Amino acid sequence: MGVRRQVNVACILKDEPIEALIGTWSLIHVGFAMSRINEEEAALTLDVLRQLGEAQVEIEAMQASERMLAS
Amino acid sequence: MNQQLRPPRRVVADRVTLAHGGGGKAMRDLIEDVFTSVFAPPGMEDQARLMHPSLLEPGAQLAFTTDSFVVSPMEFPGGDIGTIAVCGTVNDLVVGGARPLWLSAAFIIEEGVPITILRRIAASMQRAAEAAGVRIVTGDTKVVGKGSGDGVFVTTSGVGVIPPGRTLIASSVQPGDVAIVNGVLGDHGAAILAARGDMALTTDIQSDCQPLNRLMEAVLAAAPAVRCARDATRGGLASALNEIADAAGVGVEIMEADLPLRAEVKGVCEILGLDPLYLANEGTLVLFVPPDQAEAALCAMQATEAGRGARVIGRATTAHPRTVIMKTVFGGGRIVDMLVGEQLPRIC
Amino acid sequence: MNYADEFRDPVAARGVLAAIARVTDEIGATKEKPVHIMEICGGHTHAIFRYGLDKLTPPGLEFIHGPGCPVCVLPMSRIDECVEIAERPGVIMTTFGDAMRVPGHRKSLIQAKADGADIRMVYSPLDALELARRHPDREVVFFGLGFETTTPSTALTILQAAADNQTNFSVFCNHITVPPPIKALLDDPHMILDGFVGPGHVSMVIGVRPYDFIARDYGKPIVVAGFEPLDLLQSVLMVLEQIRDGRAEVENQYSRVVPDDGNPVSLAACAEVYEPRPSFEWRGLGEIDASGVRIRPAYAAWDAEVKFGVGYGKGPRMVAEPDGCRCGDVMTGRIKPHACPQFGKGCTPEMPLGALMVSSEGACAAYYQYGGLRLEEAL
Ligand code: SF4
Repeated sequence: MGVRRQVNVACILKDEPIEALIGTWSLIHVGFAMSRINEEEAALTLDVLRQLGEAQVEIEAMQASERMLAS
Repeated sequence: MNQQLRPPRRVVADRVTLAHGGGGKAMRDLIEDVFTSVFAPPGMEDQARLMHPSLLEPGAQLAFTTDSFVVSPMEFPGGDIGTIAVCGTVNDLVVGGARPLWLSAAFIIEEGVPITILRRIAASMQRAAEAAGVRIVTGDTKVVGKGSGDGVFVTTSGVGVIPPGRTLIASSVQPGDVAIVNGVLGDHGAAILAARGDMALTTDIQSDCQPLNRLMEAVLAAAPAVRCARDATRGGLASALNEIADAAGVGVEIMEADLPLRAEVKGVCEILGLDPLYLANEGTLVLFVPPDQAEAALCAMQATEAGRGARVIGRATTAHPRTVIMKTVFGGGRIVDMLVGEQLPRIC
Repeated sequence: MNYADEFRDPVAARGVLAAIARVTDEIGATKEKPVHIMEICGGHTHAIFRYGLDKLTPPGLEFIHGPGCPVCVLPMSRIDECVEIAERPGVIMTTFGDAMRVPGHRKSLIQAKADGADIRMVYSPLDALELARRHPDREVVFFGLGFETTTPSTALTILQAAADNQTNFSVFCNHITVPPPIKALLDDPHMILDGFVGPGHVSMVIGVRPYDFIARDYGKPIVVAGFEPLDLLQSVLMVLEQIRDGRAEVENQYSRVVPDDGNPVSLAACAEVYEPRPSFEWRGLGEIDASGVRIRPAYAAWDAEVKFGVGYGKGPRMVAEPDGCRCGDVMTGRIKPHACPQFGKGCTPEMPLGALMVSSEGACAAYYQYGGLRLEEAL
């Protein structure tokens, strides 16, 4: 499954055994794991984005119904 | 010709040497043991002598094409140079509406190539030929010194017959025509990249190399108004679409969201900074069909093995003539141009 | 969740785009008097064109494409030196594919390869080190280039080579840094920029603090951004909001990848292996003080400049750029790519004349390939 490649994890390993990385996401660049994805931060960013999206959907729906009423 | 009187010829060496190109016994042994005993061409003359009833039909046209194949590595997941040498030439005939009948196969072999690899290539060719319903009827071998080649180069020429009344031609595409592909894009290119090993990526991606004649016959039966088809080989879908837009003087608009792409191919492309629209395919075609027959063409395709993943990907338009534009998933647009040079990994 | 697809959601994009249009209006920016935002990084430039984002944002917002494509700004003389090393007998030159087509005075790497030099594309400097292991009789050289994102990977590879005592491996170091050219741009009296979108992958290594001077000393907002289209759009929105509110701050949109202080292991490896060069030449921008690094004398055994006797300080530098090239003007936002008289004529991706046509991350190449001008006519 997927695409496999050996990478160097020195940059993302803190004082912990390498097994600690299992199941975590990381950004890979030229064969090196450079940063562990901070899942909480990702969720926060996505929340803001989703809210902007939902607000827009509502605005569009409102505009559409106004147009309907006006016509 | 008295084949019963002598035992079948056998190659004794385990690698090809210059002697195998010398015209003597070693060469005869190689040709007979490795190639003709597998392909079983009719007779054993220097030329194939052929007849087919479909040639006699009034209005039938002979279709004739040739292509050379070089690929590194010679063997890759999903096929080898033999498979693509047969499928590529068969598909070149098929996209013109021809029913392929016969192929020639010429090999330029670099000194030192193991005989076992040649046997595997020949077996793949025969298998692909059987799958496509064609026969390999004549051929040639040459041996070049070490360093003058890269393993094996194969040239195949193909002959087929276009039945009366079929004219598939790119210049006939009209605005409004629907563009359909028969399956996922870029598998061959991605499989080769991974198989080459320089990037140390491993994947399960297999080359898509396959003959497309059954698929094409099914489509043409269901949707006889198909305007044209192109196989999206070197230069990928982008090149095929640009050629059609150019020949027909139409614009082509495709939808990013509708492009069939395997997750692994997307992954390879993101890692290496490549665009899947430019990756080579060896069993993928795009065709244009008038809108009223698009559904029929799509269903006919999906009913065949090679077309199960068929999708409508876009249409021809009067806007932006001779230009291919892709609507991105955000509704933005970008031009999909011909490939400039070779697509190189963009990493840093 | 794979932390990529979620950031390509078209519904959210519509929301961000609407907000961008709103804030652009509130600022009072128009097509005639647009607000100018520079995306510093070539990866962002590429994403803008690839996803057609510039066609979706309001006319009052103009993107200026910055100098952040390491391949584009590589000067010809460095390519010449790389070719010179590659053509020595016994050398295997390894490089990222990006650099293959960059023109030198004599030839590009792709031409040198055609002429017989053993030049191989790799995905990682580790692959180059592995080649050295497999070919003990050859000299394997890695053409190290890139910004702070890539600099640590080369450093760690050198440390690995030193630990293994792999003496037939060396690095031709062209690593450069992002902040100095931004400072150079900001010091340009013709500067028209109102704010910056910062390169997230650089900050994943160096953090966000090195950009403080942009807000503090020059009063310009900067938002460190991720590379998915929604990241980019959200960052643009954040820059616009700062402009509207009269703020100038360093903000971090890419917090899922970028810790404020960067990556300590990477930074330590870089500090161990490299020291700053007094100055480094940038194609289109000229010499910029302290904008590049070189390998410290302690690791001279893995420094191709020392090993092969080429590079800075060995003979005269040729800074001249080709006649009629306006890359500098494009990079500072004074003109759009197609306003350069060479665009599409003397300068194309097949035969690039200036830096910005070399890699698809360069503004001119992106314009050419994705059809900035033709697309406007077409739509
Ligand atoms: S068109 Fe070529 S020469 Fe002109 S600015 Fe762009 S890259 Fe430089």
